[in-house]
Amino acid sequence: MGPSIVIVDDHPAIVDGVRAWCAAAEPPIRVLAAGASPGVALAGTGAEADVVVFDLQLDGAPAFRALTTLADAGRRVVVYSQHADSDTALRCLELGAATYLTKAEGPEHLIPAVQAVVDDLPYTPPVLGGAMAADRHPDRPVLSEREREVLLAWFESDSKQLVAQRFHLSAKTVDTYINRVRIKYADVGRPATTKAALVARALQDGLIDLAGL
Amino acid sequence: MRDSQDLSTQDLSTQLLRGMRIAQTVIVLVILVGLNVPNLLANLGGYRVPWAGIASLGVFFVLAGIDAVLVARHRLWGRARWPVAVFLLVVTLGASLALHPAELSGPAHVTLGSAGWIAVLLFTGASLRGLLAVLGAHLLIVLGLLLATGRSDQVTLVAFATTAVAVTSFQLAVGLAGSALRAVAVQAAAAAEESARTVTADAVAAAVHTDREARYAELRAVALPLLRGIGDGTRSPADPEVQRAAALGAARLRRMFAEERDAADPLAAELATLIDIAERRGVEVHYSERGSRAIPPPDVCQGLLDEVGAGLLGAERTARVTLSGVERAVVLSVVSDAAEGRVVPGERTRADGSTVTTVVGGGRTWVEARWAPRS
Repeated sequence: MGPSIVIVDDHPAIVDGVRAWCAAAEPPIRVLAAGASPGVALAGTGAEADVVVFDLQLDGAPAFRALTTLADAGRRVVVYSQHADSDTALRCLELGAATYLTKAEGPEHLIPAVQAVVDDLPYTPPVLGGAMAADRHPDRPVLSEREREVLLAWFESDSKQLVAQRFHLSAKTVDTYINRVRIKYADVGRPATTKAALVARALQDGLIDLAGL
Repeated sequence: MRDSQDLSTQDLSTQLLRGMRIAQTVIVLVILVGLNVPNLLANLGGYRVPWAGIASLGVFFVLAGIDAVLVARHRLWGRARWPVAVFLLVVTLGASLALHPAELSGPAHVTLGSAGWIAVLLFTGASLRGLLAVLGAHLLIVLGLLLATGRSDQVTLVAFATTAVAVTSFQLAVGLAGSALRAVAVQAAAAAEESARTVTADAVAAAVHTDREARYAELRAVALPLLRGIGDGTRSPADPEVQRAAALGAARLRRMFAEERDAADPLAAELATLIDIAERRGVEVHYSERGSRAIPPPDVCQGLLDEVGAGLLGAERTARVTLSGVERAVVLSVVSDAAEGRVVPGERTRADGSTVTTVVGGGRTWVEARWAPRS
């Protein structure tokens, strides 16, 4: 049986669009519930879903508190937002979101993101990668020059193939660089079970070792 | 603007008045030390309360001392002027009340002559009317005291009037000189301001003219060869190469004439113009901006835009445009479905120090132009 999601979004057109992508996914992703309030993901059938697809922009202001509640409940949250600014994206990661997508990235990246997140694997869409590459906040992880260059190239091109070609790397190595940065971000700031799961899985897969953290 | 004008007027008048104020300080000190102190000591018996006479002269010394410090620091009394003037009048009234009534028009009444000089010091650089008011008030107070103590006989009044006219006319003359100097200073400041305004207007006109000439030079370089080629038939409007060159030229002309030339971030503003042109041609453009960026010099901006502009305007259906600030670098990138034949993959450095990286693969062309300020 494929993974399941619950959609928290107050735009019916978005909910319908995500439903359609889920139905077309291979294997199909089941949409257990959908609604305009975070409560739909915390009780009833929605509470059973593997992943919460979460619109940050509920009732106007970014719903950071609802996101924190979901993360504290141990839910894997894919933030799906029309906000494209870096601060919002990085703050969501800080609060425990599994990943952050802008609505413009949905058609290409939402389904792969859900599929990765279900397995506690990191997923960094290009705009989030750009936010990490340009991030200079002192509290944030220190990236190697190569990691930063690969992330920036991923942001610029939205194509791991082009990135690999440019730096003469394999697509898998490009993935490793991008994912390693995501794990570094999971390891800083406020603790959350979702972050712990991400780090644990990365250690298990050999993506990083304890010395790399 | 007003503030700066007032300030410069004040600066100038303070400077012009300085010589005058030094002279005034010397005059007042000579009067206090050479005239008033001996007079007071010789006539202390004229006071019912002798220490009041000494104290009032002491206050005059302190005020003259403060004024000397202000002169040395190129400052005027400013807002403190009126409260101090009132204080001065109160002190002189106190000293006059401390005298035996018979001494009001005699040599023991030292404050009668010197209070006006202190007022002259206070009102230097201010309106003459203030000085007149304080001098008048002072004389009226003394006259009032004379009348109140029944000394309205002709001899006393004439003696008082003689002293008052002799002393006050000197003080008024000095006050008038200061006032005239101040008027000169205001005029000089206005003239300096006017001349600065003319110089600025000339500089602005020259800059506008240079900018306009540069724009026309650019226009000649960009548009004329293309138009001439189309006109004489050597270049065909149906040729995709010519179309792209025309689109690039049009983009550049639009940027040239756009208001955004003066925008806070000219690179982002001109990039927006380019994206707009591509979108009008039916290309779906995804644009994203990340990080904080330095503002490159205008020729570098032009170079970066030219490099990625070809890719953006060559796009058939989609293009991804990003503008990033990473570490200290400004990075402009376009990935498009532009035909692969026209670009040479690889990395090269431009004369302005920016580097251009081109990657071609999977039906897509990726051009990245990057510039960092030299440290």
